[in-house]
Amino acid sequence: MIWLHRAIALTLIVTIWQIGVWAALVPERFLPAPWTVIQALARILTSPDDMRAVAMTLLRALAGFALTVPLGIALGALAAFVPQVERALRPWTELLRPLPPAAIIPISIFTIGFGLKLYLFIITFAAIWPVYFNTLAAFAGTNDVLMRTGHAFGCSRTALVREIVLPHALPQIFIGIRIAASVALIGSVVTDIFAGQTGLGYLLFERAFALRVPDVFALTLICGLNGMLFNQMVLLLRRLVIGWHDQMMAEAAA
Amino acid sequence: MWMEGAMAAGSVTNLPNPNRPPLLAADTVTKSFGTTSITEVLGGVSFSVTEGEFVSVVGPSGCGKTTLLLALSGLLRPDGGDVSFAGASVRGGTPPGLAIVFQDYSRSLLPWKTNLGNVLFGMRRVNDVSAAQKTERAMALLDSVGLNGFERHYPWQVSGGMQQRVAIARGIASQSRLLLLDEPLAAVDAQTRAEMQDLLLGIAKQYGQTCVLVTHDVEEAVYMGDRILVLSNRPARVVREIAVALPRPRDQIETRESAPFLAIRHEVLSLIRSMRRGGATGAAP
Ligand SMILES: Nc1ncnc2c1ncn2[C@@H]1O[C@H](COP(=O)(O)OP(=O)(O)O)[C@@H](O)[C@H]1O
Ligand SMILES: [Mg+2]
Repeated sequence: MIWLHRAIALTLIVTIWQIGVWAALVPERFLPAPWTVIQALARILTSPDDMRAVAMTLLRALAGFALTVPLGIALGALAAFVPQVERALRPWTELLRPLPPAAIIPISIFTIGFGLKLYLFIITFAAIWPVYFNTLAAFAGTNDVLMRTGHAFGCSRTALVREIVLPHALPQIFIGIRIAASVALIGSVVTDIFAGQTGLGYLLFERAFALRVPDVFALTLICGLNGMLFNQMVLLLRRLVIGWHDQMMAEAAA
Repeated sequence: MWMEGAMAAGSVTNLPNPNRPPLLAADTVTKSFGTTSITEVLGGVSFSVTEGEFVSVVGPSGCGKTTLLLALSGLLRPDGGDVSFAGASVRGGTPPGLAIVFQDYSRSLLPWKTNLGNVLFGMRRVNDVSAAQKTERAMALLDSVGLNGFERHYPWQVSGGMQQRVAIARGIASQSRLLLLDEPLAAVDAQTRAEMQDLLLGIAKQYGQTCVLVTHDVEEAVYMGDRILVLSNRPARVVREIAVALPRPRDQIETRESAPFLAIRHEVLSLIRSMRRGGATGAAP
């Protein structure tokens, strides 16, 4: 049923797009027809060079994500368990959190140069906040009935963290992880655009400056598809780690 | 005080044996909450429980029953006085051999563990048996509280009454010498409540479990207990101890209609009513 609904939505969107092209609201040079974009997409997907660029962007995002998540959890946990740390860091977190990833690229290039380390830095910088803040809130918000239960059945401090605090916090930490996944991808593409010699974002702007508009549409579509791929990856990870919570949410919604 | 209750109940069969050391002893336990406006909740509670006894604690809502149980279990440090379990103070935290079933049972079950997992969690301090034996024992316990077929369900997949029985099974699973129960049946309907009362009594008998049952239901206190402690309004103190010399096994119809049952019920209810009228608290001498 859901697939039928999705097919209808897709048909509708493509139809409106096609009608827009026919009505020539925008010159076709700048708004290519769906079929033209699909052809461009096919060309990119079969071009080893283009696909290498796409893969680079994905892999850098993945590497940055893999670095960000443990770091964000560790910092969030530290801030939750040592309130002095949280209080000391708060002005800095407030100052740094709202900076868009693109805004820190110049400083980053001056201080750490180009290459993978630049990507890792930008991505971590951009994606760590949701993980940090959600971990902090999750650990700080353990309810005392559960804590008491742990104490009552003889949990030591470490057992309490392992048996109660962490499992209780994981669903909320995963909210942060899921946001971080899409931010990591954004950071990777943005770094391509401003400081890359390769990658999806670089390719996108290269084709844009060459006015290869169907390619630009196709590459933008690939950006979106990458996001979907990342999201699915996180959902799979979440199901493996806290499948019980997914199931609980699904049953509550049903 | 003691003798009044004993006489009202007829013959006295369940007086604690003074030659046996008590399993649990509370000695003038006091507890207050708050820093600026101080609420005195426990006003010097003293009593003891002997191995094998089933003790009911009744008191008006908000008088400090939950606070008392938390202090008894070592989860809440009293301001004054002391609680000892099996001869040692509980100051260091809940000792092995003491288990508690919380009033807020549904929130105290771990939602990330199945019902079986929750009962196994109750056995985490049982270390003289293999994992397989633990599982077997946990399954048997769940079966005995009527959760056969729901072992692999999560607590949030079963009804409130079932959650309560999982919580009770978890308490018993720890092979504790003493089980503290905080209004375990307050949230279930009358029919289920009667069944669960008999289930609890059956389990207590089967496992030789010493129990302290906190309730605000006077009839439940009489029906279940060997002895009843009546608490005053806040700050709580034990205002009367009443031995319940009713034969066991108890019967929902026969026991509740028997003259001694009604006499004790009368005694407790009038005591509570007089406290309500007089506003008497444990602070009064
Ligand atoms: N942690 C706490 N902080 C402040 N007040 C509390 C706390 N726990 C209990 N109280 C107060 O102590 C009184 C007794 O509470 P409680 O022991 O839960 O009563 P009962 O279980 O008999 O209904 C209540 O007035 C309650 O508001
Ligand atoms: Mg209570």
